[in-house]
Amino acid sequence: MTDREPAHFATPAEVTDIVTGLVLVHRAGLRWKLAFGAAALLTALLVVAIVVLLVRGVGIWGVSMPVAWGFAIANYVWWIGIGMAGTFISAALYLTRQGWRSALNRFAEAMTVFALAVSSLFPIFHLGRPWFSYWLAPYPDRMGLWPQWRSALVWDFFAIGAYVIVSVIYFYVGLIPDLAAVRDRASSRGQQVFYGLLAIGWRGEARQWERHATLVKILAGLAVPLVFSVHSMVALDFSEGLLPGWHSTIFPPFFVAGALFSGAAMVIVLAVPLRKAYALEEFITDEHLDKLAKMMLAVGWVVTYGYAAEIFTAYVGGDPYDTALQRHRMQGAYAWLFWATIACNSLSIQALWWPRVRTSPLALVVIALLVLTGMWMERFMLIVTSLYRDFLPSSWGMFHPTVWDGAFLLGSIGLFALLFLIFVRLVPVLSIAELRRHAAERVDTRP
Amino acid sequence: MSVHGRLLQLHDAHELASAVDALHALGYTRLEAFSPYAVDGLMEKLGSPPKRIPPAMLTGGLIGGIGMLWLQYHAAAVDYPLNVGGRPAASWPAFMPSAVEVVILLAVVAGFVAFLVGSRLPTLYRPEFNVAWFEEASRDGFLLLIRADDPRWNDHQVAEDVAALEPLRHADVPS
Repeated sequence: MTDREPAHFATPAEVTDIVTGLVLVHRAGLRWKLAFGAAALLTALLVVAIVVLLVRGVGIWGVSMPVAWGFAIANYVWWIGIGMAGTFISAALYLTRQGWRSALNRFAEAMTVFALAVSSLFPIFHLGRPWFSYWLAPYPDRMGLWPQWRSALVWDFFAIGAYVIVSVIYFYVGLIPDLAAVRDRASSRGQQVFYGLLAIGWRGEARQWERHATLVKILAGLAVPLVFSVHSMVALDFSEGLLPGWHSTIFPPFFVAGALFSGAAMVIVLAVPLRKAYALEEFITDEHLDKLAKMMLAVGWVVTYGYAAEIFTAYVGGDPYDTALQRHRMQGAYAWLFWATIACNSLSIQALWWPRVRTSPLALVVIALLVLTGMWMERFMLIVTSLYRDFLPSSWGMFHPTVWDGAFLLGSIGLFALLFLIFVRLVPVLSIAELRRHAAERVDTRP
Repeated sequence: MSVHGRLLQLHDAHELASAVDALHALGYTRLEAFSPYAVDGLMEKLGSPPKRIPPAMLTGGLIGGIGMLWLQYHAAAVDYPLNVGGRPAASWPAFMPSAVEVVILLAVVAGFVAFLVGSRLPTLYRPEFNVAWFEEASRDGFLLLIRADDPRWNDHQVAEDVAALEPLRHADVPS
């Protein structure tokens, strides 16, 4: 399937009516309401946890010496990684003219924006005094302070900042013609005003389309290096440190692969219920699931290569601290975490070699959930195992998560789900403009 | 009642393109074409707008990159030089990562602004919106507007020329 062979058989008018109807006509079902209620409860838990954190400080978490990075940083790296797949599907598959992405890119981009929103909470609240987080930004202040430009944490601040802003702009630019389509079909005054404001007066004029296409093309070209650089910066937060297990050149590509891996898994987890709830089987076909599964399998192997390369380089290098760390990971107190990670991220995906598994929504969701769990455990394992055995045995210690660590993790999942559930009710979940064009091309080229 | 122009709906993208050709042949120049997606080849007929987005993005990127490198040099070497293990104050390789991110950020912001300015967005009210079937342009309608400020504009002549194109429907757009 290429740009010239769209998957669906709807006409441009049908595409418009179906997708705008989901926003304007479709009523929320019981399952949506239940999911929304659960997500809202978890989000309330997150709010409570944040208030407690602001009042009592990061001491409510299990972080202490020597394990001073715990759940918060694992959550941050996990969520920002999940965001990658949206940018990848939107930008990289656009540049390589993969027409099938048009059924996925809208909700994948939304996933990116929401995952980034959730992700960026964690480094800020981890600062201890989050109300001073603006000190990371360079501005001529009265204290004469400047950021430490040689620190990977400052690079990361710029990387995430740029990524959040660019993702929102990219998402919105693609959305403008679709918002105009919803505006034009809206019947109630409230909807007309709401979508009218969001569509900022888009008319579908030929010169507007021309500028839109130019902008989208260059945005895609910039988003790809941006997303690779962002996950490399996240990795540099670790590898710029001198700790065994972190100080490794494999980290940037390893983190990019891990990000795409967890992101592809999240796209599957969102796509399957979405297409069932909205009866979008015509657009999000089994073939799409098959391609996502193949993407997950391929990049899962790159992640597995990363695990192997880390162990291999430790033993080839022969540094006693490096080899000791690898032994601690595989046999130490957190060995269960390491092997569970391998089981989820390297073993479970091998089922995807079978075409029947790749087109079975249930099997795919189960594997994708295993991968998401595995990727969180991997982030946590990488952080904790490098910290809990310090260079001096007298400084060794364990990490004991508290109930608030759990509240932040569950709450972040709740917030993400809440944002996504609001998104599917308010915004066209498929890219109407792109699917319309595919439909028209099919009509044009009909013999 | 003053008129903004005359709006007509054509059957499909091919007819829209031929209608543009026919009106050009008659001497009309101020035409606007509305379609549910970008129609290939239409832009060549209507005359491409000046390509301002790529130079705007280049400018934004250059300002971002040079500005960020200057800012880091100024902060680390001029305003607050700090000797950390004898490393040079102007350690430019460490300045690259932030600079790269800001290049992309400012290029994207500049491109977005150039897109909005070039497309005259946001403009929440447009005279075309007064025509009830203008909404077809965001579904599967191919619409063409002859603006009343066209030098060839003449109420009777326009009505005749439009009818000759045999559009699905046509109407005056009140301004």
